[in-house]
Amino acid sequence: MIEVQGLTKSYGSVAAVCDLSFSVAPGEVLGLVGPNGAGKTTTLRSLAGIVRPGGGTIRVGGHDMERDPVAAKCVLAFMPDEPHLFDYLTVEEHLRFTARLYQVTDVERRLPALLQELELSEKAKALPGELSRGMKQKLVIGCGLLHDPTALLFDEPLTGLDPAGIRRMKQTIRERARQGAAVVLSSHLLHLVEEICTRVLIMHRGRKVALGTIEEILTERPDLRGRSLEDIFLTLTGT
Amino acid sequence: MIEAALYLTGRSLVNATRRRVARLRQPKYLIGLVVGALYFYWFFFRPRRGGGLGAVASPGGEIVAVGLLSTLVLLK
Repeated sequence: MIEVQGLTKSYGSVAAVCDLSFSVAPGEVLGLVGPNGAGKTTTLRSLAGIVRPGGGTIRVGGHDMERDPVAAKCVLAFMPDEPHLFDYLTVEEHLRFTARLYQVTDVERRLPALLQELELSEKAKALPGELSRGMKQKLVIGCGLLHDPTALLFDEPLTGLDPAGIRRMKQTIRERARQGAAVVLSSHLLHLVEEICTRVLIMHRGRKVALGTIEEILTERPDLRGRSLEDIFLTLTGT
Repeated sequence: MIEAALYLTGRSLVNATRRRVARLRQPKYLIGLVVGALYFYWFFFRPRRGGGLGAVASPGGEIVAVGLLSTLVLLK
């Protein structure tokens, strides 16, 4: 469960996120969409505890991110759009390191299956410098899923993946949600959002302009009925 | 947490060392290592007339040392 109440974040005089409130229940996939500079990444980074909000509260799995950040971070995984890996750790060492961080005890048993799922078995001993961008992205996601988090935050999860990787990623997101994880997914790929998200949060200039299922958004804006999410998005954000 | 940090540091050190040793298969890195090792030998361990670490090397020796160092820098 992810609960956000009155989230506000400014960078100097620029308000990146203004009074944003929403919640994501277990099993839900919330699509976070908006034009560049809408505040999506700031929102995700605040949820992940990387950015400290200027105001508001964030609760992840019942833990307050401000008061109990370690407990909150133990139940979440944040997969950024740009994979950042350690230069001198191999693929399997990244997974072992993450397992130690999150005190995952059965990593040796899970490692072969996980490497196979990520299609990285042949690259288990490779350093990040020897991996393609898509492989790095898969490794980041593998590290994120290792401790079975109940809150998943994806920032542009399909960037750099090949068609097979895209299909697998979509399956992974759906599967994790089915198992009870609350998922927030930020993407410019509206067809992806339409395909796998149960609800949509449309942001513009740091503010919420629409939140709900596409049907709920259309109930509030009947003039947009029959149009695609792309049309709805462009109309609501005025872009 | 400490165990994870030690694992990260230890494995990074091992892999970085392996990587650098593997690079010695390329002649430019091997030559760099040899020249570097010679330079250090020349500077710190070579027998000196008059004895002692404080003994001043001959001008010719300094020229050779600077030449070796320059070669090392160029090869890196």
